[in-house]
Amino acid sequence: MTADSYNYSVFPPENDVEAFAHFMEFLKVGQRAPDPELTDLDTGQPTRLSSITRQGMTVVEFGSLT
Amino acid sequence: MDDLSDAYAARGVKSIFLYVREAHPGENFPHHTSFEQKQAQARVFKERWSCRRSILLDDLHGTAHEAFGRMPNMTYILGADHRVLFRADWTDPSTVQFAVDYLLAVAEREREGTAIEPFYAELRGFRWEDVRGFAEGLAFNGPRAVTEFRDAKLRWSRGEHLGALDALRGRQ
Repeated sequence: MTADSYNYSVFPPENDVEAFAHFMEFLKVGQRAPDPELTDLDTGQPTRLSSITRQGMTVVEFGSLT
Repeated sequence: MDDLSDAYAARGVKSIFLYVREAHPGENFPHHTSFEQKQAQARVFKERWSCRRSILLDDLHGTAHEAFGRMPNMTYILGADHRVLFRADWTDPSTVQFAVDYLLAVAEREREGTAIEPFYAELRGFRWEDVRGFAEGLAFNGPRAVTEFRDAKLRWSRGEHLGALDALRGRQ
């Protein structure tokens, strides 16, 4: 997915139907989670979730301002 | 979710907010066209909601969001082995707290020497919608966000777009 198609400008994105339909079959409990590179908002430095999860149980909420 | 984070931090539970794309872009806070804009809007989020959790930003392409299922406000609980312990397609603090309490109890029993055997389980979640707060949020984003959501609800009520998934998602 390109940055333009991912960051839709008009709600709702048509391809959300696919995401909503498939979530229940996606990344089941017990599976190892992805660990892509992220950026720490406070430091601006690259980081990964695994740098936190290795310290213990971690609650990860996904969201945005809007 | 910040209150939950504060309440369980002393018990070793970490909490992260992973900032993804704008769900309801509007005139005031449009869709991201640069990473710098995404950072700036994440800072507004942090201030508006007095977010006390660490905020990590996904990249502009949504690599992490896509890898976890691309739902707008989902929650995962990951173990120290980075495996999924809990997942929900929406975030409801009381449901997450229920799961955290359960998982902490399991860890406690394991520390006490109880033999623990993992198994697969699912739970149908229920959440309490903050209709007024959501409407205020849309207005904060800009008039277009209000109009687009109103129009989308009409489509859903006709069984179009996400409305076609109501049976699959347990809403019928």
